[in-house]
Amino acid sequence: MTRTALLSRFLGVATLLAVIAAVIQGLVIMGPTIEQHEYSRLLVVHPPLAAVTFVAFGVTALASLLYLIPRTRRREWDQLAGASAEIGVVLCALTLVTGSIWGRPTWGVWWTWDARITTEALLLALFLGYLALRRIPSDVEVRSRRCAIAALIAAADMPVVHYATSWWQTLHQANFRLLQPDKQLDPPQLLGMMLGFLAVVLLYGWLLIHRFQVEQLEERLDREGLAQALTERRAEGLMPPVPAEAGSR
Amino acid sequence: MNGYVAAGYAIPAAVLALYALRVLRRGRALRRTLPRRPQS
Repeated sequence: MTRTALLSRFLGVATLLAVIAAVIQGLVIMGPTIEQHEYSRLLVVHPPLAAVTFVAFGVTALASLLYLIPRTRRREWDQLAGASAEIGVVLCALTLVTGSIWGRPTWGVWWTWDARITTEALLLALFLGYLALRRIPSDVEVRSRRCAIAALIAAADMPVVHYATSWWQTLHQANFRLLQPDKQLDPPQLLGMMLGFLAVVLLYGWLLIHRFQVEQLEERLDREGLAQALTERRAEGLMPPVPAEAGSR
Repeated sequence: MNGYVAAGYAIPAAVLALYALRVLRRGRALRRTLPRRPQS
């Protein structure tokens, strides 16, 4: 078994265990709170998804930057950026959906044009645009450079999302700070959130390994598949035509 | 269980599971399509 396959297996098992632990903590052990009642159970899901969205887009931005620097330029950085961005888009969409599910019973609305939520939606739109840009057929090097610049532009929205609750008056809660004692959560809630974060980060790692491999295989298919198809077509031209009966089977 | 809480857990779980399956299937399909590299 290769090292990557071993890591994937380890991450897969660890993810499964962390998800089970997080769900038990969130739905069984953690009780309802005075302020948020039953909805405090969503602390295990929504903040971890939001945090790991930042990890995924952060990896995309870093890999894009490394691709743009001539000294560190490698095909793998572009592939990693693309793989991480797609996972980030899924996580970002789920952050908005779970936030909306929490917002309906606590704020009374599914959606509001709050600075934090709007900038997060903008982040999703920007990275969807990035993924669309990756699909535009073009020379691999040109496409990769174009996408790396687009990723850095999209990532410029990340600090705006993070500081939105400090820069503007928002309905959304202020940022959670682990080391600020006056803004501390109760231990069961804190543990639930940490388990949720662990589960999502492990899942991100597992998905990244597989999505990165898909990105590499797609690039190989583009490169070798075309050459092989041309060879096959040429060979077909030299061979006698296949009888109609045999071809229909 | 509260419906909002149930949806808050079930929707991400379902979406992430489907996405993981899609990634695995795409990888498997690509491996089947591509010719094997000669072993060195």
